[in-house]
Amino acid sequence: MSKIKLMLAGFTATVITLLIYFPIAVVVVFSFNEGIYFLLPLKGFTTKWYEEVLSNMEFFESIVNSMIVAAMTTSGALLVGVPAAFSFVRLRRNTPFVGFVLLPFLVPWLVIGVISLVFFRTLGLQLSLLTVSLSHIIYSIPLVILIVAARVLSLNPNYEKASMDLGADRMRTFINVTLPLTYPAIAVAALITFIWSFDNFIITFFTIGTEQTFPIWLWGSLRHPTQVPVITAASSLIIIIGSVVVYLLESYRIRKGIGITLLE
Amino acid sequence: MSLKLENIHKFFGHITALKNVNLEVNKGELLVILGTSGSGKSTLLRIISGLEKPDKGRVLINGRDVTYEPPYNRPTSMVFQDLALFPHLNVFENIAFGLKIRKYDRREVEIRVKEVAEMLRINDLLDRSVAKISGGQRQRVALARSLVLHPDILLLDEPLGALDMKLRMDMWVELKKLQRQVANTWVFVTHDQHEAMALADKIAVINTGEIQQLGTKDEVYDSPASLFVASFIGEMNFLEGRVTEVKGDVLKVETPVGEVEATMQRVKGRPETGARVTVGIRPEKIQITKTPNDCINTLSARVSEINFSGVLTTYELELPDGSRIKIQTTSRQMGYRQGDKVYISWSPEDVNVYVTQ
Amino acid sequence: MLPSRKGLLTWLGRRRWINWIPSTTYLLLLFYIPIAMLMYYSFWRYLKLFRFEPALTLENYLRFFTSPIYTRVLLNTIFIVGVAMALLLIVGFPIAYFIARYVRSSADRIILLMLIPVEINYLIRIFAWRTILGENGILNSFLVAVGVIEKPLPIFFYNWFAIVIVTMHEWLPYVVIPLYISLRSIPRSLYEAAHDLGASRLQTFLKITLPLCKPGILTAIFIVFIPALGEFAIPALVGGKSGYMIGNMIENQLLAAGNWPLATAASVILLATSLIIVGIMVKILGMEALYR
Repeated sequence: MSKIKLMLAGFTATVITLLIYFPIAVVVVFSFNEGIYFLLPLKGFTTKWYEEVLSNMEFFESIVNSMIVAAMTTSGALLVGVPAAFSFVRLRRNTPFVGFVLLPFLVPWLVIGVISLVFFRTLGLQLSLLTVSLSHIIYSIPLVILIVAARVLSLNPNYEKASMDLGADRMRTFINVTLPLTYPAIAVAALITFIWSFDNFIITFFTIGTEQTFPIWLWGSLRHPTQVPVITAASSLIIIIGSVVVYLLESYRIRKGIGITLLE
Repeated sequence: MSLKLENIHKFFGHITALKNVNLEVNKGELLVILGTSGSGKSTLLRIISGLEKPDKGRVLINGRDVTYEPPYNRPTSMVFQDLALFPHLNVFENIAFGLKIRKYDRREVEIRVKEVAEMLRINDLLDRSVAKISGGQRQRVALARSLVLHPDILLLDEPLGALDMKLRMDMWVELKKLQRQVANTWVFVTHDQHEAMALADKIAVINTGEIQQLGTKDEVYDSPASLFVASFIGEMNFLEGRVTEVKGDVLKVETPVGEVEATMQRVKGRPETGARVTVGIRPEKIQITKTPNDCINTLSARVSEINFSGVLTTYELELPDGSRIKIQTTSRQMGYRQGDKVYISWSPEDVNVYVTQ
Repeated sequence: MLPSRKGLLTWLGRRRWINWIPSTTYLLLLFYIPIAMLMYYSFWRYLKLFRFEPALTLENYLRFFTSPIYTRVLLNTIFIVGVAMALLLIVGFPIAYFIARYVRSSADRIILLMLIPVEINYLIRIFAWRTILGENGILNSFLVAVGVIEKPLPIFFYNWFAIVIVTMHEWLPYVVIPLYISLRSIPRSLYEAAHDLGASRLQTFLKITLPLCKPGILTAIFIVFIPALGEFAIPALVGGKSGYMIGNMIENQLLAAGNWPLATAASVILLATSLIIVGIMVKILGMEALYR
């Protein structure tokens, strides 16, 4: 029994270390390496790549643009998706609405990118950060609905009944009881959408104009070998900041008992 | 000897789950292990089944030492508390599971499953999903799944817990009948004394990991081996007292409400004169009369509560020192009313005496 | 006359279907109409670079399916994603089993540990693998340093297996999570009952654990297969010749070759492929698996 447990523990630890953490660690370690190639042994410690990144306007602009896109996507998706999440629960599975709003989940991101490009081009819309957000929202709607609806479903319906018994009408029950109890899920949905949108490359690639988001900047820079050390430092910054953000988000989510990223 | 446990000890960390357990069950007997939750009764059953290994001691089945054999190498089969029916298999497949694992050919499997299903009257359910049958039916499927393997010993871990009272009582009768029919050894774990009484040939009362008493129903009921058993099974009136005289076959105890006499067979331990003891008398062994009779153990009392519950009438009486005593009788018309002064008496053979020190 | 504020709220509260209007309208306009448009374009006729005319022709589909290159690319894509999916399930299962069976109280922490580097940094992770597997990468310079090989070999990189590795890094937590949730809901007594009825460890796994994990397996396939089929950044950055996927072809036709009719037809085929594969999986594993 314990032998199997030990083997499984070893396997889990190995996979997490080698497959998930090792590549990330390599990037962070080499961001302090003097040489411009990823060659062992390391050449020597330096922070000059960070100095270079921190004076790189394109990098900063791309981060700001990513934030703008993520913020627009998040607010748009919440505005459009949250009301449906509440009705999702009442109408149960059999409503055609549910399939209608969840279908984008079954479509590869690439296809969402392609249809958006075709659509915007056909309408003659100028591609911009706005068009990126508009296409991100397509995928974020089911994302938001699933996270929030899961929470609403898990609420004890007796809260609402109790409140209505006490004389509150439906709307007041919603505002004073249901909404506050759902608040954490909405917050989690917002953060997950924000992170997803910030990090999305495939949809963005098809719908962006001349501006650059962070993934687009990275994509462009990858083509220039001399840029590698700068990318390494920039990536390390994002890895570290991103890890902190994801850690905070996930621990908040676990504390509030919200399903593991919409899979529960 | 169908099943023999020798010296079984089990520890979970520094908690002792079982302490020096010894048990013997004959072939064809139904042993009920009775205890409260946390008494170690389920652990004991799991040790017999092989799901748990004892830290000390031996398990012998049909004379063979199986202490370290895995569950699948033992001639035992277990009916689990939650029944553990496989949700992805239908009734037939659940029952056939063990046979298929043992690579019986298809016809043989079919014949044996049908046979046991008939016996348990679930032959109409064979192609149903186990999620879509009633609690009582699930019970039978779990039983069938074990019985179909013809185990030498069937282990049952509170399998009736989820049923309502009426259904449980029906199942008691049926299980008992079934056990006689298949004639193998059953070990049944429960916390319900009525269930134990209804089913058992033998009862083992277990508390905090130790067997308190192993005996027939009569032995356990009439002559509980310890104060714990006495208070756990059935109802018992207790009086505290001090031994005043030990003479031949007779023991006399001075209690706050008068002298009580007991015969030595019912005395647990060897009390000396002056020892502190507790005296126990079953409510139904006490007679109640209007006038004092000439029995040895006669006390005066006052009726404080009368409760008729169908078959039984329970009287609660107040003794002169303010303590209370319970009496049960099947006769309804005794003409007593609350506040009446009465006399109660019992025979020395019905008195259990426990040394408390 | 306008209804009072309270009256308006009550009116809204009674009509819950109103809640569906924003999301359905949005998706109708920006998702369903564009999909219709995509299908429409796929029947157009290609003239030359970024020039095409309205038509109702099947020639784009015919060209896709009759060209040995394009069908190869499609099959190659399915193959690569299939291998990655299989390996993900094989690697993810023991991890999920370990968490569910032995360390359930710290399950959240272990999953968090897996999610932190994966929820962000999509391109960074591809870049990281380039630095490891590339010709001038860590792996090669390590092997040279310890003397296993004499000079850097271009074997770890620019091939389909590199895509498999990066895809596994991308999706492992999202495979472990649904498997873990499935395994967690199997009561311990079921394993014990199987043992008690005579099943060995392996038989218990095959007959109890695996069938009861179907919902988790199906969810994992939903989560991984669909986006992975439409991947183009991973193959573009680490795939090389043997790792050319349909996503690369679509991107190339759409943006560089300017052949919208062919690119949209290929997109429709990609969409259909992913729905068909998911449909097959649902068929094999059983739809009821999704609702349990």
